[in-house]
Amino acid sequence: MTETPAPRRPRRLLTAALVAVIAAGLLALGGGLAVALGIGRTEQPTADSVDAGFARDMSRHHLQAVEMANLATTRSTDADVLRLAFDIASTQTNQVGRMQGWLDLWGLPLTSGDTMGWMADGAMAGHDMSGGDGAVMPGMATETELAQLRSLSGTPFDVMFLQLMIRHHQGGLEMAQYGQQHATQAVVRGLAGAIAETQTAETTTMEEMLRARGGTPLPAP
Amino acid sequence: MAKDPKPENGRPNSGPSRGGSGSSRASGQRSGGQRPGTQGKGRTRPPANVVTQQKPWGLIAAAVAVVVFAAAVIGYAVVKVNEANADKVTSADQISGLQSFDYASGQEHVTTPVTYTESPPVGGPHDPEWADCTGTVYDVDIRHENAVHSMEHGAVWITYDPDAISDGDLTTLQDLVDGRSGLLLSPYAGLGSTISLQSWNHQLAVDSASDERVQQFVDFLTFNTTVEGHYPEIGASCENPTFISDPLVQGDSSRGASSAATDAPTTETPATDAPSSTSPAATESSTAP
Repeated sequence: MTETPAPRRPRRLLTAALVAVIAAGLLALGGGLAVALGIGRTEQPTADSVDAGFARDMSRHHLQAVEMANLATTRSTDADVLRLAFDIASTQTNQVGRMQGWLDLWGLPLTSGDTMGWMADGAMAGHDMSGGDGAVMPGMATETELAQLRSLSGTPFDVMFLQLMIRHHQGGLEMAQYGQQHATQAVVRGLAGAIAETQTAETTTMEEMLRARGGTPLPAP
Repeated sequence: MAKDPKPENGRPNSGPSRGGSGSSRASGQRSGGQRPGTQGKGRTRPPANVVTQQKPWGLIAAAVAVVVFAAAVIGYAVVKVNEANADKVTSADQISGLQSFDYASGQEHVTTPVTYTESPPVGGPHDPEWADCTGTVYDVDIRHENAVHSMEHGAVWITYDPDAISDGDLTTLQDLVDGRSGLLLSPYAGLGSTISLQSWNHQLAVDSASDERVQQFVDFLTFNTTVEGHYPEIGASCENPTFISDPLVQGDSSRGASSAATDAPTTETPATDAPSSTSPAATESSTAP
């Protein structure tokens, strides 16, 4: 008689524990299902990822091309050069907007002092950047070159513009190819691939234009 | 059974009652009468105790409720997610009858006429100048080499057979295209169907402008940046005011060719200029590295 009430108290505790376990289990199950089904997935690149590095550095590389192309509107009178310059300026401005938009969505800074650190074994190796004149990435024009380009007009401008832009495109190719191969986000790989492929073709076009205007290409970066 | 195993313990009366509910009433009454305070309660508890031992209905009900609730929540979420994606085309092969091609990005710019394999063309070498594709309705058969360049810039080029299309369908297409960036519409002589939609590497022939695939094609393939089958020059512009005011039609020669022809003398005169303009840049770069 005195032993009968004794086991009933643990029984109530057991009941409560069971309910708690079931509830917790279901919550975990639901959460797990949601994750498995991809509801609210928020996997985002970090600041040192290839995706973010590509978006930052290709933006910076592009913006100099846009700057040079914008000079053509007031300094060139050649319809083909003007069309090419507009194509470069509008396309690359659009692409910079895409890349900076990604960085915004990922909550990452748009710029960084460290260029091309995201590429394995330093893409700067193999490129001579000892000029120390502001050419921060392969193919980019120096401040001196930009100043000279600004001082020109007419065909002399067209020739130097094409020379600098050809080298600029060549310099960005490696970065684009690396992004195409190593970025984790599909949208980044897609844009990097598009840049690599179309700028190669555009380089061929510009080389023909350069020859037609009596110029010769600069050494590749 | 009624016998306590240890009657010598001095509690002979408790033996039968402790024996369980099966004990005799006589002993039960007796023990109840003896100790009403404790034994009486103990007498009523065992049946209640037996009930809880049988089935924990409250617990089962709670568990069922939790399961049902969780299933409802998860089911609702899944249905909502699926609903949101139901009408959305997420790959080109979801558009029935669509043909895909494999022209590489980075095609050559040519000012000469191009003989395309497909009609209308869906890729390949093209004119340096693109046809304006800012939601532009042309009433002439625009030069194909220029339209291909528009598709390289991400445009969907809608063509129709002017002899076969109904007025109603033409109005539908004009309403669809007019002012919607990334689209251009033009008549196409000798088209194999009433209407044909093209984007870079994609083509779809339809008989009617109200075919639901027209909207699917336009929605999915205009400026399509999905990794598989994206257009070559992501981000390129569709603007070309010159082409709107003075569209080139089939049979016209390239403006690039004509400007190159007019440029030829100008490039010759600065040919003397060229060395002076190339050398500074050349020396520049040779000193920089």
